[in-house]
Amino acid sequence: MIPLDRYPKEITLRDDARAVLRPMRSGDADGLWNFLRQLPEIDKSHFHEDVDRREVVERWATSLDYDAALPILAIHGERVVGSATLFRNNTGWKQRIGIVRILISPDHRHLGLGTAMIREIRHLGEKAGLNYLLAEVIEEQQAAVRALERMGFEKAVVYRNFVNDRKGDLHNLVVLLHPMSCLGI
Amino acid sequence: MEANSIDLRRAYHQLERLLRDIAVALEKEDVPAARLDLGKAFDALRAVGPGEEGPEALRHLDHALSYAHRVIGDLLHEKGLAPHSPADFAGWFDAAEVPFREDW
Repeated sequence: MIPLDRYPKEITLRDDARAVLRPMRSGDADGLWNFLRQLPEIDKSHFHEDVDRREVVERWATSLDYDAALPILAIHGERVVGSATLFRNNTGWKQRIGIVRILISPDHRHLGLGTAMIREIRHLGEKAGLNYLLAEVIEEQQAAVRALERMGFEKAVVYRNFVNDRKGDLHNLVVLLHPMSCLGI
Repeated sequence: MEANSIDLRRAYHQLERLLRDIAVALEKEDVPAARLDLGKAFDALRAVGPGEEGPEALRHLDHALSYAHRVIGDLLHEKGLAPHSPADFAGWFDAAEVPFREDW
């Protein structure tokens, strides 16, 4: 179990607005639904399920398992404006690897929120005793790639024409890795 | 602008003081990622001696400063303060454009 006593955590964005970070709760279905609806199409490409279906989002919010997927939401006012999820396997050969997925509302970009979410996930990854964090990003999402690299993620590989978006168009996939402190590298 | 040996020596000692101050601030915080970065900053600084010159020395100093920025960012984040951005100090840089800004 990752200790969650640091939440709710207040942060300050570059425009001096305050946002609160906290784990997603079962009552967050409405906020999550509104958040996902405003995301650009390319940001929804990685989802395994159709996030345009309300019941999918409601199921996510009501079937939370923090040991498998720990979603941290950024709340500004009453709105969800960002999410960062740390996916983990509790057994098997990838149990020391955390997979990171971060989404930022278009009207809250360039304010340092994405970077703050990366910092938060790095902290949680350390507390979970992980060896590596792994992020997969479509190459067009350059702002995300740059922010991840600035925070210590390194490009491990770029797969050309590897993943498809929801229209079927192919994109390059960038895989980035972040070694955690327990590795000592 | 070319950095001369006095500039490099001054930068080395300023960075050394900065990293020591950061280490003191970090002692009271539970931020493992920042400790890792601070260690890398010290490693980068130690890779160059105080009197060394040349592009390689400059590169190591630049690395040390980059890691230091990241640790400062971690400390600000822990305190809930606005992120530090080198772009805020653009006026101090002798460059047409500061090479990094908050993208995300």
